[in-house]
Amino acid sequence: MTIRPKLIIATVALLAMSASLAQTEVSDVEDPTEVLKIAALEALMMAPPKKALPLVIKVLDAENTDEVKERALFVLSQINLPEAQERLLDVARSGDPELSSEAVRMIGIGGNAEALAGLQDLYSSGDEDLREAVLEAYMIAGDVDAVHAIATNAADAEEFEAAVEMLGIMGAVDRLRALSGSSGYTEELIQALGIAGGDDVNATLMQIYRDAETADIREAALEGMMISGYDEGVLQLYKESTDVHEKRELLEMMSVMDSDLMMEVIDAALAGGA
Amino acid sequence: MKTAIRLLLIALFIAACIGSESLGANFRVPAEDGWYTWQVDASDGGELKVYAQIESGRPTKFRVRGGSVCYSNFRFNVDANDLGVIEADESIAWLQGFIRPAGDLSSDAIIAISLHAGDLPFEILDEILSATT
Repeated sequence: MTIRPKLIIATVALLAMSASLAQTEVSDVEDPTEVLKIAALEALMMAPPKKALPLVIKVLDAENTDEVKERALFVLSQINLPEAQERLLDVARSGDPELSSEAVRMIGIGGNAEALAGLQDLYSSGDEDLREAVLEAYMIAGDVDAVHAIATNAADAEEFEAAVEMLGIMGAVDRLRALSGSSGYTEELIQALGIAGGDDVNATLMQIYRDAETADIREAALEGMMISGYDEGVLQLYKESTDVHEKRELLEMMSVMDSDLMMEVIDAALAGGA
Repeated sequence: MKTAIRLLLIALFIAACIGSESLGANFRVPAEDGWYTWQVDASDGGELKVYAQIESGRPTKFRVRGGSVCYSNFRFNVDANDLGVIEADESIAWLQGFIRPAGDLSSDAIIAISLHAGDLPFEILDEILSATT
């Protein structure tokens, strides 16, 4: 497995971990009062929503650690009442450096359509951290339309890159292809395709590599293949190439990918065939 | 005279004991090692089966099972001594004694309590959540 996919999987795993906040690990928290509060919040997950809501709101309004409040936000995200979702949005808008981004992610976990719609304004007015949290929330909620809209309306290259990368993580290949319609495949789009992966994408990456008019696009396509783990494609390009410099680059990429197919190249070289 | 006062005090003590017994305030799980179970009204309106494992005279695990709730491994299947039907508040009162000090057993106790019927579970959760360090 290559470095980039590992990073992506680690990111997704991290998000999944934050989604399993209900699992209380007593050993993680040292303060006994805090341990009990987290257990009580976990218990509220099984309580009738109308009875649980006032207690959760009380926790958020009181002096509590961020750890406890983050758990409270998770419980809030699981309460399917308008007041709960409104309160999540309030915390998201609060500007609290620790909690607002967490509240945004919890809106993604909750998946409430109205609360998710409320994130659009937050994205426009928020700082980088908040914008990242909004993208993650949309990813968690599987809201491809919202991420696609952000990519389409991106104010700068950085914003565009973050949005298309998220589309890649979401596997929204059709949306990435659609975005290439106006300006062709940019480096960001090519890498996002690599993140999405799949046979269809691999074929596209090969085509982009072969048709590339610039070294940057060729490199991006190769990197896309690395991200998607498509070492067969890299080997194919290696075999096709007659350029020594290019062959060396492709071989290096296979090495970076820790590809077992390297043995095929070595065997062929030893046999004097490549 | 002293004997009469003593007898009166003894009578009052016995009456108090009998009274508390009839109110069910003395629910205790036996101290002998093993699994015990009892049934209470659940928060979802059904019946909740509470399980406690006793080792060396102290509970080491709590588990609960009910119609819409299950706080145990799905393979959880023990041969438990059945203590019968208990008032929810009595069961809560006993479980509450194991919330503090904070530890693994406290989480079990809190979850178990929260699944009992009545307002007492919420009062206890409120007390825990309102505590200051």
